[in-house]
Amino acid sequence: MIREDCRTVTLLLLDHVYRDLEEVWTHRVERHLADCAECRERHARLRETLELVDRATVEPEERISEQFAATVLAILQRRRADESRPWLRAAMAACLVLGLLAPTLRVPSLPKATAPNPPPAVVELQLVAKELNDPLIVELAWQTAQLSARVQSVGFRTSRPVS
Amino acid sequence: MENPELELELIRRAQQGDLRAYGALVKRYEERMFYTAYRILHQREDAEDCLQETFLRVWDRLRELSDVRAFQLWVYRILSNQALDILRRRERQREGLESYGSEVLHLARVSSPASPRELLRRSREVERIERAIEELPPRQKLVFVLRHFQGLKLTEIAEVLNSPLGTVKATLHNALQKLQGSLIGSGEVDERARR
Ligand SMILES: [Zn+2]
Repeated sequence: MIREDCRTVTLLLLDHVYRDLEEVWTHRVERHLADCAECRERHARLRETLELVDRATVEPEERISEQFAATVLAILQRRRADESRPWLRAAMAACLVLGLLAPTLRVPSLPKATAPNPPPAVVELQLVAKELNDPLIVELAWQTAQLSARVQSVGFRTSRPVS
Repeated sequence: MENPELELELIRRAQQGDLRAYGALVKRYEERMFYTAYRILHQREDAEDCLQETFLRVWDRLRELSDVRAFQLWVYRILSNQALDILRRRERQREGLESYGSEVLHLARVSSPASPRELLRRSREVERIERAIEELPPRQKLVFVLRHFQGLKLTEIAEVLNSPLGTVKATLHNALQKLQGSLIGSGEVDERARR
Protein backbone atom coordinates (compact mmCIF):
# COMPACT_ATOMS: atom_id res chain seq x y z
CA MET A 1 0.00 0.00 0.00
CA ILE A 2 1.08 3.52 -0.75
CA ARG A 3 1.85 5.62 2.32
CA GLU A 4 -0.27 8.64 3.07
CA ASP A 5 2.77 10.92 2.80
CA CYS A 6 3.67 9.46 -0.55
CA ARG A 7 0.15 10.07 -1.81
CA THR A 8 0.34 13.74 -0.86
CA VAL A 9 3.80 14.18 -2.31
CA THR A 10 2.82 12.45 -5.54
CA LEU A 11 0.03 14.95 -5.95
CA LEU A 12 2.48 17.79 -5.42
CA LEU A 13 5.26 16.52 -7.67
CA LEU A 14 3.97 18.32 -10.73
CA ASP A 15 3.70 21.60 -8.86
CA HIS A 16 7.17 21.02 -7.56
CA VAL A 17 8.63 20.37 -10.98
CA TYR A 18 6.93 23.49 -12.32
CA ARG A 19 7.99 25.48 -9.25
CA ASP A 20 4.43 26.33 -8.36
CA LEU A 21 4.72 25.42 -4.70
CA GLU A 22 5.02 27.74 -1.78
CA GLU A 23 8.31 27.52 0.05
CA VAL A 24 6.90 25.55 2.99
CA TRP A 25 5.57 22.88 0.68
CA THR A 26 8.69 22.82 -1.44
CA HIS A 27 10.70 21.97 1.69
CA ARG A 28 8.24 19.32 2.71
CA VAL A 29 8.34 17.64 -0.67
CA GLU A 30 12.11 17.78 -0.81
CA ARG A 31 12.44 16.35 2.68
CA HIS A 32 10.19 13.49 1.69
CA LEU A 33 12.12 12.89 -1.53
CA ALA A 34 15.32 12.63 0.44
CA ASP A 35 13.81 9.80 2.51
CA CYS A 36 11.64 7.96 0.03
CA ALA A 37 13.14 6.07 -2.88
CA GLU A 38 9.79 5.40 -4.54
CA CYS A 39 8.83 9.06 -4.71
CA ARG A 40 12.35 9.93 -5.83
CA GLU A 41 11.88 7.49 -8.68
CA ARG A 42 8.54 9.09 -9.61
CA HIS A 43 10.09 12.52 -9.46
CA ALA A 44 13.01 11.44 -11.65
CA ARG A 45 10.70 9.92 -14.25
CA LEU A 46 8.59 13.03 -14.38
CA ARG A 47 11.62 15.22 -14.89
CA GLU A 48 13.02 12.87 -17.48
CA THR A 49 9.75 13.06 -19.42
CA LEU A 50 9.66 16.82 -19.36
CA GLU A 51 13.32 17.08 -20.30
CA LEU A 52 12.68 14.85 -23.30
CA VAL A 53 9.81 17.09 -24.30
CA ASP A 54 11.97 20.17 -23.99
CA ARG A 55 14.78 18.65 -25.99
CA ALA A 56 12.41 17.80 -28.83
CA THR A 57 10.53 21.03 -28.95
CA VAL A 58 12.98 23.88 -28.74
CA GLU A 59 10.93 26.17 -30.92
CA PRO A 60 8.54 25.45 -33.76
CA GLU A 61 10.12 25.97 -37.15
CA GLU A 62 6.93 27.40 -38.50
CA ARG A 63 6.32 31.11 -38.27
CA ILE A 64 3.12 33.04 -38.45
CA SER A 65 2.75 34.78 -41.80
CA GLU A 66 3.84 38.40 -41.80
CA GLN A 67 0.55 39.73 -43.10
CA PHE A 68 -1.47 37.99 -40.40
CA ALA A 69 -2.46 41.11 -38.43
CA ALA A 70 -3.03 43.05 -41.65
CA THR A 71 -5.39 40.34 -42.90
CA VAL A 72 -7.39 40.38 -39.68
CA LEU A 73 -7.65 44.16 -39.88
CA ALA A 74 -8.66 44.07 -43.53
CA ILE A 75 -11.50 41.67 -42.72
CA LEU A 76 -12.67 43.87 -39.86
CA GLN A 77 -12.39 47.05 -41.94
CA ARG A 78 -14.41 45.54 -44.72
CA ARG A 79 -17.02 44.33 -42.30
CA ARG A 80 -17.19 47.76 -40.76
CA ALA A 81 -17.58 49.41 -44.17
CA ASP A 82 -20.46 47.06 -44.96
CA GLU A 83 -22.12 47.77 -41.64
CA SER A 84 -21.58 51.52 -41.55
CA ARG A 85 -23.19 52.11 -44.93
CA PRO A 86 -26.43 50.11 -44.79
CA TRP A 87 -28.02 52.86 -46.91
CA LEU A 88 -25.55 52.18 -49.65
CA ARG A 89 -27.17 49.07 -51.03
CA ALA A 90 -30.60 50.66 -50.81
CA ALA A 91 -29.38 53.77 -52.62
CA MET A 92 -27.68 51.70 -55.26
CA ALA A 93 -30.75 49.56 -55.74
CA ALA A 94 -32.79 52.72 -56.24
CA CYS A 95 -30.30 53.91 -58.83
CA LEU A 96 -30.51 50.59 -60.62
CA VAL A 97 -34.29 50.82 -60.74
CA LEU A 98 -33.96 54.33 -62.16
CA GLY A 99 -31.43 53.04 -64.64
CA LEU A 100 -33.83 50.34 -65.76
CA LEU A 101 -36.67 52.81 -65.94
CA ALA A 102 -34.58 55.24 -67.94
CA PRO A 103 -35.56 53.78 -71.34
CA THR A 104 -39.22 54.54 -70.65
CA LEU A 105 -38.22 58.09 -69.73
CA ARG A 106 -37.07 58.68 -73.32
CA VAL A 107 -33.53 59.19 -72.18
CA PRO A 108 -31.76 56.22 -73.77
CA SER A 109 -32.26 57.00 -77.39
CA LEU A 110 -29.75 59.77 -76.95
CA PRO A 111 -26.25 59.23 -78.22
CA LYS A 112 -23.48 58.09 -75.90
CA ALA A 113 -22.91 60.88 -73.52
CA THR A 114 -19.85 62.99 -73.83
CA ALA A 115 -20.77 64.43 -70.49
CA PRO A 116 -18.37 66.59 -68.53
CA ASN A 117 -17.30 65.42 -65.09
CA PRO A 118 -19.90 63.27 -63.34
CA PRO A 119 -21.54 64.84 -60.29
CA PRO A 120 -19.66 64.41 -56.98
CA ALA A 121 -22.25 61.94 -55.66
CA VAL A 122 -21.58 59.62 -58.57
CA VAL A 123 -17.83 59.93 -58.12
CA GLU A 124 -18.23 59.07 -54.45
CA LEU A 125 -20.33 56.06 -55.35
CA GLN A 126 -17.71 54.83 -57.76
CA LEU A 127 -14.99 55.23 -55.18
CA VAL A 128 -17.00 53.36 -52.57
CA ALA A 129 -17.72 50.60 -55.05
CA LYS A 130 -14.03 50.30 -55.80
CA GLU A 131 -13.17 50.22 -52.12
CA LEU A 132 -15.76 47.61 -51.22
CA ASN A 133 -15.00 45.53 -54.28
CA ASP A 134 -18.49 44.05 -54.17
CA PRO A 135 -19.66 42.92 -57.64
CA LEU A 136 -23.24 44.05 -57.07
CA ILE A 137 -22.21 47.47 -55.87
CA VAL A 138 -19.68 47.86 -58.67
CA GLU A 139 -22.43 47.03 -61.15
CA LEU A 140 -24.81 49.49 -59.50
CA ALA A 141 -22.20 52.24 -59.48
CA TRP A 142 -21.56 51.66 -63.16
CA GLN A 143 -25.27 51.83 -63.95
CA THR A 144 -25.57 54.99 -61.94
CA ALA A 145 -22.66 56.62 -63.74
CA GLN A 146 -24.21 55.71 -67.08
CA LEU A 147 -27.55 57.11 -66.07
CA SER A 148 -25.97 60.27 -64.78
CA ALA A 149 -24.08 60.71 -68.04
CA ARG A 150 -27.27 60.29 -70.03
CA VAL A 151 -29.18 62.74 -67.91
CA GLN A 152 -26.38 65.26 -68.28
CA SER A 153 -26.24 64.83 -72.00
CA VAL A 154 -29.99 65.49 -72.16
CA GLY A 155 -29.31 68.70 -70.29
CA PHE A 156 -26.74 69.76 -72.88
CA ARG A 157 -28.86 68.95 -75.86
CA THR A 158 -31.86 70.83 -74.71
CA SER A 159 -29.75 73.86 -73.92
CA ARG A 160 -28.39 73.95 -77.45
CA PRO A 161 -30.14 75.17 -80.46
CA VAL A 162 -31.58 72.45 -82.64
CA SER A 163 -29.84 72.31 -85.98
CA MET B 1 4.85 41.67 -20.72
CA GLU B 2 6.65 44.78 -21.78
CA ASN B 3 4.85 48.07 -21.20
CA PRO B 4 1.62 46.85 -19.64
CA GLU B 5 0.28 50.40 -19.38
CA LEU B 6 0.42 50.87 -23.12
CA GLU B 7 -1.26 47.54 -23.56
CA LEU B 8 -4.14 48.41 -21.25
CA GLU B 9 -4.57 51.64 -23.16
CA LEU B 10 -4.66 49.77 -26.46
CA ILE B 11 -7.31 47.41 -25.09
CA ARG B 12 -9.45 50.30 -23.89
CA ARG B 13 -9.18 52.08 -27.21
CA ALA B 14 -9.99 48.91 -29.10
CA GLN B 15 -13.04 48.49 -26.87
CA GLN B 16 -14.19 51.89 -28.10
CA GLY B 17 -13.90 50.69 -31.67
CA ASP B 18 -10.37 51.84 -32.54
CA LEU B 19 -9.25 49.36 -35.20
CA ARG B 20 -5.72 50.74 -35.32
CA ALA B 21 -5.28 50.06 -31.62
CA TYR B 22 -6.68 46.59 -32.12
CA GLY B 23 -4.19 46.00 -34.92
CA ALA B 24 -1.38 46.86 -32.54
CA LEU B 25 -2.81 44.42 -29.99
CA VAL B 26 -3.01 41.63 -32.53
CA LYS B 27 0.63 42.28 -33.41
CA ARG B 28 1.60 42.03 -29.76
CA TYR B 29 -0.18 38.74 -29.27
CA GLU B 30 -0.01 36.99 -32.62
CA GLU B 31 3.26 35.17 -32.15
CA ARG B 32 2.56 33.87 -28.67
CA MET B 33 -0.90 32.76 -29.68
CA PHE B 34 0.32 31.24 -32.93
CA TYR B 35 2.76 29.02 -31.08
CA THR B 36 0.06 27.93 -28.69
CA ALA B 37 -2.23 27.03 -31.57
CA TYR B 38 0.60 25.40 -33.46
CA ARG B 39 1.63 23.27 -30.48
CA ILE B 40 -1.93 22.08 -30.14
CA LEU B 41 -2.80 21.65 -33.81
CA HIS B 42 0.63 20.77 -35.30
CA GLN B 43 -0.35 22.29 -38.63
CA ARG B 44 0.49 25.74 -39.79
CA GLU B 45 -2.68 26.36 -41.79
CA ASP B 46 -4.92 25.11 -39.02
CA ALA B 47 -3.03 27.19 -36.49
CA GLU B 48 -3.46 30.35 -38.56
CA ASP B 49 -7.12 29.65 -39.26
CA CYS B 50 -7.66 29.07 -35.57
CA LEU B 51 -5.88 32.31 -34.77
CA GLN B 52 -7.74 34.36 -37.32
CA GLU B 53 -11.08 33.13 -36.03
CA THR B 54 -9.86 33.84 -32.50
CA PHE B 55 -8.94 37.46 -33.22
CA LEU B 56 -12.17 38.12 -35.12
CA ARG B 57 -14.13 36.79 -32.16
CA VAL B 58 -12.06 38.73 -29.69
CA TRP B 59 -12.93 41.91 -31.58
CA ASP B 60 -16.62 41.03 -31.72
CA ARG B 61 -16.78 40.41 -28.00
CA LEU B 62 -14.24 42.90 -26.74
CA ARG B 63 -16.87 45.05 -25.11
CA GLU B 64 -17.95 42.12 -22.94
CA LEU B 65 -14.54 42.15 -21.28
CA SER B 66 -15.04 44.11 -18.09
CA ASP B 67 -11.56 43.70 -16.61
CA VAL B 68 -9.03 44.71 -19.23
CA ARG B 69 -6.24 43.18 -17.19
CA ALA B 70 -7.77 39.77 -17.87
CA PHE B 71 -7.31 40.28 -21.62
CA GLN B 72 -4.57 37.72 -22.10
CA LEU B 73 -6.35 34.88 -20.32
CA TRP B 74 -9.53 35.80 -22.13
CA VAL B 75 -7.76 35.54 -25.51
CA TYR B 76 -6.35 32.20 -24.41
CA ARG B 77 -9.86 31.08 -23.57
CA ILE B 78 -11.25 31.96 -26.99
CA LEU B 79 -8.23 30.41 -28.67
CA SER B 80 -8.56 27.25 -26.58
CA ASN B 81 -12.19 26.80 -27.53
CA GLN B 82 -11.35 27.28 -31.19
CA ALA B 83 -8.48 24.81 -31.00
CA LEU B 84 -10.58 22.23 -29.17
CA ASP B 85 -13.25 22.55 -31.85
CA ILE B 86 -10.69 21.87 -34.56
CA LEU B 87 -9.25 18.91 -32.65
CA ARG B 88 -12.69 17.42 -32.11
CA ARG B 89 -13.55 17.87 -35.77
CA ARG B 90 -10.34 16.06 -36.62
CA GLU B 91 -11.15 13.25 -34.20
CA ARG B 92 -14.51 12.78 -35.88
CA GLN B 93 -12.82 12.65 -39.27
CA ARG B 94 -10.35 10.18 -37.87
CA GLU B 95 -13.15 8.00 -36.53
CA GLY B 96 -14.63 8.09 -40.00
CA LEU B 97 -11.30 6.99 -41.42
CA GLU B 98 -10.97 4.16 -38.96
CA SER B 99 -13.49 2.13 -40.88
CA TYR B 100 -11.05 2.21 -43.81
CA GLY B 101 -8.46 0.32 -41.82
CA SER B 102 -5.40 1.14 -39.79
CA GLU B 103 -3.21 1.88 -42.82
CA VAL B 104 -5.16 4.97 -43.77
CA LEU B 105 -5.52 5.93 -40.15
CA HIS B 106 -1.77 5.80 -39.72
CA LEU B 107 -1.26 8.02 -42.73
CA ALA B 108 -3.83 10.49 -41.48
CA ARG B 109 -2.07 10.69 -38.17
CA VAL B 110 1.48 10.83 -39.26
CA SER B 111 1.60 12.63 -42.56
CA SER B 112 -0.56 15.56 -41.57
CA PRO B 113 1.53 17.43 -39.01
CA ALA B 114 4.66 18.43 -40.87
CA SER B 115 5.79 19.63 -44.25
CA PRO B 116 8.34 17.43 -46.07
CA ARG B 117 11.05 20.00 -45.45
CA GLU B 118 10.32 19.87 -41.78
CA LEU B 119 10.22 16.09 -41.70
CA LEU B 120 13.64 15.87 -43.27
CA ARG B 121 15.18 18.05 -40.64
CA ARG B 122 13.74 16.29 -37.68
CA SER B 123 15.44 13.35 -36.13
CA ARG B 124 13.41 10.27 -35.40
CA GLU B 125 13.68 10.98 -31.71
CA VAL B 126 12.12 14.39 -32.03
CA GLU B 127 9.46 12.88 -34.24
CA ARG B 128 8.67 10.28 -31.59
CA ILE B 129 8.31 12.87 -28.86
CA GLU B 130 6.20 15.21 -30.93
CA ARG B 131 3.92 12.35 -31.84
CA ALA B 132 3.53 11.47 -28.17
CA ILE B 133 2.33 15.02 -27.52
CA GLU B 134 0.16 15.04 -30.59
CA GLU B 135 -1.59 11.88 -29.56
CA LEU B 136 -2.71 13.23 -26.22
CA PRO B 137 -6.49 13.60 -25.94
CA PRO B 138 -7.54 17.18 -26.89
CA ARG B 139 -8.12 18.54 -23.41
CA GLN B 140 -5.00 16.96 -21.96
CA LYS B 141 -2.95 18.37 -24.80
CA LEU B 142 -4.43 21.81 -24.35
CA VAL B 143 -3.70 21.87 -20.61
CA PHE B 144 -0.21 20.53 -21.17
CA VAL B 145 0.60 23.11 -23.85
CA LEU B 146 -0.71 25.98 -21.76
CA ARG B 147 1.25 24.84 -18.74
CA HIS B 148 4.44 23.61 -20.27
CA PHE B 149 4.99 25.83 -23.30
CA GLN B 150 3.05 28.94 -22.42
CA GLY B 151 3.98 28.88 -18.76
CA LEU B 152 0.48 29.56 -17.48
CA LYS B 153 -0.15 28.75 -13.82
CA LEU B 154 -2.70 26.07 -13.08
CA THR B 155 -5.03 28.65 -11.55
CA GLU B 156 -4.82 30.63 -14.79
CA ILE B 157 -5.53 27.54 -16.88
CA ALA B 158 -8.52 26.85 -14.66
CA GLU B 159 -9.73 30.34 -15.49
CA VAL B 160 -9.06 29.91 -19.20
CA LEU B 161 -10.97 26.64 -19.31
CA ASN B 162 -13.59 27.70 -16.83
CA SER B 163 -12.90 24.50 -14.90
CA PRO B 164 -12.25 23.75 -11.24
CA LEU B 165 -8.58 23.80 -10.28
CA GLY B 166 -8.75 20.16 -9.18
CA THR B 167 -9.99 19.07 -12.59
CA VAL B 168 -7.21 20.94 -14.35
CA LYS B 169 -4.64 19.40 -12.04
CA ALA B 170 -5.97 15.94 -12.72
CA THR B 171 -5.99 16.60 -16.47
CA LEU B 172 -2.36 17.72 -16.41
CA HIS B 173 -1.42 14.75 -14.26
CA ASN B 174 -3.09 12.38 -16.73
CA ALA B 175 -1.40 14.10 -19.65
CA LEU B 176 2.00 13.59 -18.04
CA GLN B 177 1.25 9.98 -17.18
CA LYS B 178 0.38 9.38 -20.78
CA LEU B 179 3.46 11.17 -22.09
CA GLN B 180 5.64 9.30 -19.66
CA GLY B 181 4.06 6.05 -20.77
CA SER B 182 4.83 6.68 -24.42
CA LEU B 183 8.25 8.23 -23.91
CA ILE B 184 9.95 6.21 -21.20
CA GLY B 185 7.53 3.34 -20.60
CA SER B 186 4.83 3.10 -17.99
CA GLY B 187 5.96 3.15 -14.40
CA GLU B 188 3.99 0.84 -12.15
CA VAL B 189 4.98 3.05 -9.24
CA ASP B 190 2.87 5.86 -10.63
CA GLU B 191 -0.03 3.61 -11.37
CA ARG B 192 -0.22 2.66 -7.72
CA ALA B 193 0.03 6.24 -6.63
CA ARG B 194 -2.92 7.32 -8.66
CA ARG B 195 -5.60 5.86 -6.41
ZN1 LIG C 1 7.15 8.58 -0.92
